[in-house]
Amino acid sequence: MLKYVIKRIISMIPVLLGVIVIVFTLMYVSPGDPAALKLGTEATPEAIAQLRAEMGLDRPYLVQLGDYILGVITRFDLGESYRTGAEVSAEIVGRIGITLKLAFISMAVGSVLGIALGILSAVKQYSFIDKIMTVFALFGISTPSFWLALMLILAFSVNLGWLPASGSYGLRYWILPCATLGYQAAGIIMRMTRSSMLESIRQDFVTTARAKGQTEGKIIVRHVLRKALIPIITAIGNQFCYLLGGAVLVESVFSLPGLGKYLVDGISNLDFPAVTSSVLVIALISVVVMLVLDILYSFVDPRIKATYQGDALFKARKKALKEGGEVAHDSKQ
Amino acid sequence: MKTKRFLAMLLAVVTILGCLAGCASSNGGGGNNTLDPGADIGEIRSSKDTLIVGTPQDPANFDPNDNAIQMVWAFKKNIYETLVTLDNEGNIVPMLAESWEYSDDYMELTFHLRQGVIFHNGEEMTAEDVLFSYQRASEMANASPSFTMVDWDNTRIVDEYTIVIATKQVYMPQLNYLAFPLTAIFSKKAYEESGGDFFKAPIGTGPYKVANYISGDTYELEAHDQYWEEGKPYIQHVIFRVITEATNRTIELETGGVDLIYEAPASDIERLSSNEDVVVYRDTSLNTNFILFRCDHAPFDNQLLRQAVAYAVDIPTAIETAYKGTGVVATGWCSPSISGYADIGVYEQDLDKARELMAEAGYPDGFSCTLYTDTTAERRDLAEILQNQLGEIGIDCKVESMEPVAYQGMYARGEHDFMLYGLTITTAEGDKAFRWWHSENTMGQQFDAWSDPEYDALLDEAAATIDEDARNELYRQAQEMLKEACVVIPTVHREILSAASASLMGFENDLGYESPLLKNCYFA
Repeated sequence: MLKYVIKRIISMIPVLLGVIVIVFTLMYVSPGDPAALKLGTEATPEAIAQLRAEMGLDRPYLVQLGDYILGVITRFDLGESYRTGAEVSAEIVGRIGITLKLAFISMAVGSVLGIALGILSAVKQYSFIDKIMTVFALFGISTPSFWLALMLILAFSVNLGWLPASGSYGLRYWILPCATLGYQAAGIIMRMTRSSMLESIRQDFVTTARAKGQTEGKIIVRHVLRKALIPIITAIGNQFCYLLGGAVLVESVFSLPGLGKYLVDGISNLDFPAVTSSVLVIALISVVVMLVLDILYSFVDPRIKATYQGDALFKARKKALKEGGEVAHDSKQ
Repeated sequence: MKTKRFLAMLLAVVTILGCLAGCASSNGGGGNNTLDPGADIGEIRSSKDTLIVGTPQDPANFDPNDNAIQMVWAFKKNIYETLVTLDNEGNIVPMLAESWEYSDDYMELTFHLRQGVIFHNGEEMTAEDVLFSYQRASEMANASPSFTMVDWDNTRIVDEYTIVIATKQVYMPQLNYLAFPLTAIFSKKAYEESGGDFFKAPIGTGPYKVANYISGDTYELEAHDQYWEEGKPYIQHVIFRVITEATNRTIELETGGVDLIYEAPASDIERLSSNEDVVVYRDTSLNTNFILFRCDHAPFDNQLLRQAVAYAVDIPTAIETAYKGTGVVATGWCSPSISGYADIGVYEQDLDKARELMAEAGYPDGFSCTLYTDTTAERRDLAEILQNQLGEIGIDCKVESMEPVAYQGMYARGEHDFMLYGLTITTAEGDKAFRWWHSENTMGQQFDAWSDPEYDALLDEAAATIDEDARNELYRQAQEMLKEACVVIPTVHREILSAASASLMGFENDLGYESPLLKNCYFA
C-alpha cells in the first residue's frame, strides 16, 4: 500500500510539470504584451522595452520557462506578479483559503443534498418524487454556473433584497456562491447515488437481508448504500476538482477574492507567473484529492485493499521463484 | 469497526481542514495588515462614519508612480497628493505648492511649498521630499513621460520650502504634467528607512492613510488626523470594495452594500436615476473616442477613402443608440474642456459626397475592410451600427471584437484597418491632446502610423509658445490638419458616471483624472 502511494506521488511530478509547460506556453503565445498592457497607451516604446527587460520578458521562451520551473523546484518560488509586484506564493496563500472554503462548503452542500435525494429517488423509483428529483438533478447538471449565479443574484439580492450580491464579509455573503456551486454538485452526486443504489438494491444479498428480517432502513443504509458508495465517492472527488475550476467563474461573479478571481485577473493582465502558479496549485490540489480518494476506496471496500496486497504478494512470489526459494502461500506466513 | 473509526476520523480531519482553510482567508494576500473578512460591514456603516465605495479596479499596489489606469488613481489620490492639481474648469490650482512662478526665460518653474504639510508618519513635507519623489518617478516607466523635458542638472532645492524645476527648453505643458497623479509626493525618509517595503504601508500627505487591506478585495483607509486642510476629511473611514462586475456594483448600491460606486454601467443609469435613494453624477470627461485609421496600409492609406468613411457615417445617431443616452457626441478632436480645443466643425453624414470620394479614389463599387473593437458593450454596439451605415455606400465592413489583451496586441502590431479607441487627455492641455499624431510621439503609442512634418513643427512650436492665444492658434491649425487628413473620426466624449446614496453630500466627479476626492464628502 505504501509503495503504491509513493508510486502515485512520483507519478504526480510529470503531470504537474506538464501543467506548467502547457499553461506557460499558452500564456506565452497569447496575443498582447504584458509590459505594454501594464503601462497603458501612454507608454513610449522605450518605456515598454525598459519594462520588458525588467520583467525578463526579453529573454528567449525556453530560458523563461526553465527559470520558472527551476524556481518552483529548487526554491518553491512561484515568481513575482507582473500586476501587483508581490510574491505570487504570498498572494496565493492569502487567497486559497477563500477558494477552499467555497469548494468545501459547496461540496458538503452538494454531497448531503445529492446523497439524500439520490437515496430517496432510488427507493421510490419511477414514482412522482423520482421524476421531480430527476428534473432537479438534470437542471443542476445542465445549468452553467455563471447563469445560475446571476439568476440567484437577481432573485435574492435584487428582487427580495435578502442576501448580498458580492463580497465575503460574513456568513450571509457565502450563501449564494455556495448554493450556486453546491446545487450543480448535488445534481451529479444525486444521479450517481441513484444509479449506484439501484444497481445494488436488486442484488441477492439484499433479498437475503430482507429474508433475515432486517428493517428496510437498515438494509438501505448498512447494505445497499455501503455497496453503492464507491462510485459516489468517485463522483464527490471529481466534483471537488470540478468545484475548484468552477470557482473561477463563481468568484468572478460574486467578487470573492479567491484563487479563481486571481486567475481571471491574471489572464486579463497577462500575468504569466500568477496564471501559471494558480493553475499549478489547482492541479496539485486535484491530484492530491484523487490520491486521497484512491486510498479511501480501500477502506470502504476491502476488495480493493486486497488488490493492493495481492499485487504485493504476487511480486513477492515472483521474486522468490526467481531466487529459487520457497513460495509463501500467505503474506502473513 | 476499525474502518468505521478511520472514516469518522478522516471526515473529522477533512472538516477541520476545511474550517482552517476558511479561517486562512483572513490573511490578505500580499498584505501585512488585514481586514477581518468576518466583520459585518453593514454594522460599521450604520455609524455613518464610514464611506463604502464600490470600485471596478483593484489598485494592485500602493506605488504612486505605477499604473496608468484612472480608477487606480481614484484610490491613490486619497493617499498621495501632487504639487498642483486641476480644477473642474481645467485650470491648474495649488495643492501642496501654495504658489509658483516662471523665470524670465520661462526655462524654470519655482514652486513655493505649503508649510505645515504633515506626512502620515508625522514628519513635515519639505523640498527634499519633492525632489526625491520626482527623481524616482522619472525612473519609473509609467511616470517618466511627465519628466521627459526636465533638466535635472539645473533642477534644485532653494530652501526647505522652495524648489526650482528646470526644463531643457521652454516647455509650457510642464506645469500641467506636475498635476498628473503619477507625480505624487511621498516621504523620502520613510522610503529610505522602509528597506524596500515602503509601498506595503505607504506614507503620503493625502487626507487618508492605509489602515487594512485584503489584496484584490477590500482596502480600508482611515482619516489622516494631521491633514493640512483643516477640518477635512469629514468621514473617518473609507472602505474601497473591488467589485469588477458592473451590474453587481449597481445592485450593491441599491441594496445598501456600498454608498458610492465608480463607473456606473450606462445600461443601469436610467434605473438608478429613477431611484429616489440614489443620486447619479454625470459629467463630460476629458476623454474623446475615435475611429482610428491605420494610414500605412491599404485601404486607409488613401486619404479619400478615410474621408469617404467620415461622410458615410451618422455619428450622432450611432452614439445615441450605442451609448444609450450617455456620453456627448464629439464636437472636435479633443474635449471642449481642454485648452487648445477649437470649434472647427466635424464631418457630417453626406452619402453623395461619400460616394463621390469613393469613385475619385478608384473604388466606385466599394471595398472590404475590418473594423476592430474591444469587448466594451458600447463600442461593440457602435461598431455594428457603423458596419450597417458603411454598407449603404458599398463598404463591406467586417467587425472584429477582441478581449482587451488581444486588442492591445493587435493594435500594437498595427494590424488594424481601422479601430475604435478612446484617449483621455489627463493634462487638460493641447500638447498632450494632439501629440498622439506627432510622428515622434513621446507620450505613447502610435495607433495610426500617420506623419506630416508640418504638423510636427506646429506642435513643437506650440509647446514652446509662451502666449496662450498664440499657442491656441497653433493648436487650431493642427486640428485643421487632422480634419483634412482625416486620420481619426471623433465619435463621443465619454461621460464620467458615478452614483451614490442620496445621503452622501459633497461628492463630485473629478473631470481631469476621473478620480474624485473623498475628503469633501460627508453624510447628511
